[in-house]
Amino acid sequence: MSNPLIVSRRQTVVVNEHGLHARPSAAIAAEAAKHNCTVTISNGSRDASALSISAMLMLEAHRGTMLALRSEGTGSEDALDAISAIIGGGFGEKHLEISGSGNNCGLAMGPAHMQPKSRNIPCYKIAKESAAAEKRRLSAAIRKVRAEFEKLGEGESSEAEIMPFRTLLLTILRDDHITRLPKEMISEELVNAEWAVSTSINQLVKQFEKNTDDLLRTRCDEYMQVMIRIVRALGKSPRRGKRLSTVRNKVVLADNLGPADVVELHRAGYRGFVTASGGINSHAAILAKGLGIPALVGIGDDILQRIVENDYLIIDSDNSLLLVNPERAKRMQYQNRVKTKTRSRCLRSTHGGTRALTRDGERITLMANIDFPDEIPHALEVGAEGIGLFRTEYLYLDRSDDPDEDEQYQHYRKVLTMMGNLPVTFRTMDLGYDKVSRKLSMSGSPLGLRALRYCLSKPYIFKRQLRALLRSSVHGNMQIMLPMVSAVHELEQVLALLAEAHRELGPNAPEMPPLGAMIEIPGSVFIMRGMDKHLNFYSIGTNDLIQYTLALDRSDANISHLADVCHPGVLALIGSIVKQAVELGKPVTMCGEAATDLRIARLFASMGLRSLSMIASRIPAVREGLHETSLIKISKQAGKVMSARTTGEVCSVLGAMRIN
Amino acid sequence: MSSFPLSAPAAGILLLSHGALAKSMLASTELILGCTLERTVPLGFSKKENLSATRDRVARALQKLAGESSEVLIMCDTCGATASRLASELDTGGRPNVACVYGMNLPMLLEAVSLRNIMRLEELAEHLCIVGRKGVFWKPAGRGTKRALL
Repeated sequence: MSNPLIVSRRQTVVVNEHGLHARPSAAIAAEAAKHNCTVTISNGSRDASALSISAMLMLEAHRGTMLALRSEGTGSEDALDAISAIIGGGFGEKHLEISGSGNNCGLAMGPAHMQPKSRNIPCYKIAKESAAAEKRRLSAAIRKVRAEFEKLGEGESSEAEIMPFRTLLLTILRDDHITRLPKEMISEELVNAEWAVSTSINQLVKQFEKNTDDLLRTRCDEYMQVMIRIVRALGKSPRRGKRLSTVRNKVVLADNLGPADVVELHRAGYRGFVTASGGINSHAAILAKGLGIPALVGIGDDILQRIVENDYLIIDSDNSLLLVNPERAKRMQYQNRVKTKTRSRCLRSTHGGTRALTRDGERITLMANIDFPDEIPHALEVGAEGIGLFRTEYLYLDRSDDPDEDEQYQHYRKVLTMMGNLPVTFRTMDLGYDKVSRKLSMSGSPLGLRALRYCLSKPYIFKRQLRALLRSSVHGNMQIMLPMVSAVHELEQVLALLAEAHRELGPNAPEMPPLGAMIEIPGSVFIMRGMDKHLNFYSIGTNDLIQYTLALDRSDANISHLADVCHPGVLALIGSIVKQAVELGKPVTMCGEAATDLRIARLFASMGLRSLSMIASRIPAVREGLHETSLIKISKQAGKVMSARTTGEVCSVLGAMRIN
Repeated sequence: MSSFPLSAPAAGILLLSHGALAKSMLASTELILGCTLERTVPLGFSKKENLSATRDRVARALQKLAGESSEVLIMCDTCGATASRLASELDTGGRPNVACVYGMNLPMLLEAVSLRNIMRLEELAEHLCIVGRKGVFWKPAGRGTKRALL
């Protein structure tokens, strides 16, 4: 009969993905039936007999629930051991999700590699005559380990991370408890070197553990690691190199790892590691973070037992989770997360910009349109690779006078300096129409005396700007762009003025920056070849292009909503500009709102457009959108878009387009 | 609940239902437990059968189960069904000892299978009635965190 006075208790966490469902409950019931004692499982205030599947189901214990086990009667300990092992081991289910402490270093995925255990330390008596030899064996092992530690961090780009640990480990190697005391033990007690050194260090560690100082306690880890290494060096374990080669691209599991291990495994090419013990402040986890290796520590011994070599593991060190053999859907989810992260990590160029890279590896330059220098910091933050359009006219607005050459020079210089050596394209003043200066008398019509026409009618003012631009060009990477070019002779007049301005700057005038034209008038699309010899690049001003092509006054609220880039006429013109620029071998950038429309950006990128300039806040979204895009796939569908006969048809074909 | 194992072999279980319910219940239980069950027989009845055919089938199943244990638990999908009525009319002369439970759901069947090794027939039948009811409850839903596809 059972003794009711014997009561045992245990606590276990449910780790398998689907929690305590029917099958695990049945497994527990089967186990409980083998024992004489009475076992109760509780989830909070709900109790269940371990014999009743139904009652256990009603506990509704999900993954992560802490269950309290209680047993009365003889054999309670055994019963609870068995049952908690079933629960803690995930019921032998292959899909497990385990919590630990992650080092916030992203994801690692791969087959598991179990580090051999270092628990069994040989212990035997030696003959008195062998004592000297045994001491020499210990010294040799210590030398070997010292050499290993000295190699750490050598030639590593992360050397700075590793150095403090290396120093620490080398210091530990000089400790009496390693160098002197074990040797005394060998002589006096006639035990083998492994036992002598491990006993000595264990004694030291016990003293540390009594101490409440956290720092000293984490030292224990290091001492243990050093001891394990010495024992290994003493033993006839397989050659280090051979062992490590099996680690490549795997996720390593171990009881515990020391910094030296982390480094060596890093060299051997592992993807991440998981340990049974250890806390987030353990040196291994910290070092791993410094090296960019995802790690999860403290998952517990029970679980470690359940994982076998080559189980597929996913370490999510940001969310402190380990997944063992996750189902396909979950695996895909994580794989997608890794892909996005890796791609964006790889794209950080040395100049600080972040290029957009399509699925098929095409690079698209993303730049910002700005009006004031104050917008530059934000543009740089979102990774703009330059300024595709700097509107110079804002300096003229909201004032009763007009800016003189020096003021302009300072203004342009500021912009160039802030952008470093990233390109800045200055558009010469586009005044008149919606941007009207009070001083400079101008017409308000979109078709009237504005922009270049205005400039050519007032050469004195225009040259002032040109001189300011030329002078400031030495402070950065400048390009000059002319708005609303509509005729070749117009362009030739501008060139003449430019040459004059240049001459006016004297013998030390800087070199002429590259010159480009905004193609935003339907007519200019057809004279590109005529203009080409004078130009270094083109820009597509989609806002004005739509306005002129569809005869819509942008500033007239009554009809401005009719402006639509998806009009077949507009698309045809843009397509022609891109095509011609590619044929002429000149860079072409799309400025204007259409550049932020991913449908349009993708369409023309597939036709050869490789540069977009837009409002800075849209750059990240466009970059992401382009990442997902396969231009080859788009180009196969582009013909259908370009031959659509109505705006509606264009929109639906664009909407149905497969981007990758 | 007594927890000492019985000295006699565990009770046999006879499942009676309209149509395929009994067979399916057994299949689902075996799926969950990951093994085929011994001493468990499912019988499904259709309207087409006549009374004597039905009675014969039940009797034969009882006889088979009696060969393996001294107790048989009959679980019927509902009370008032022909098959269950016939079952209750049979006289086995105490060998095997038979108890009939009316109303069947999966928690009960799981429980019956695991506890028949441990409980006596009447105690088991009583317990199953409790389990059958306790295992049925309701909760509001649709407020979780995963999006439903609409």
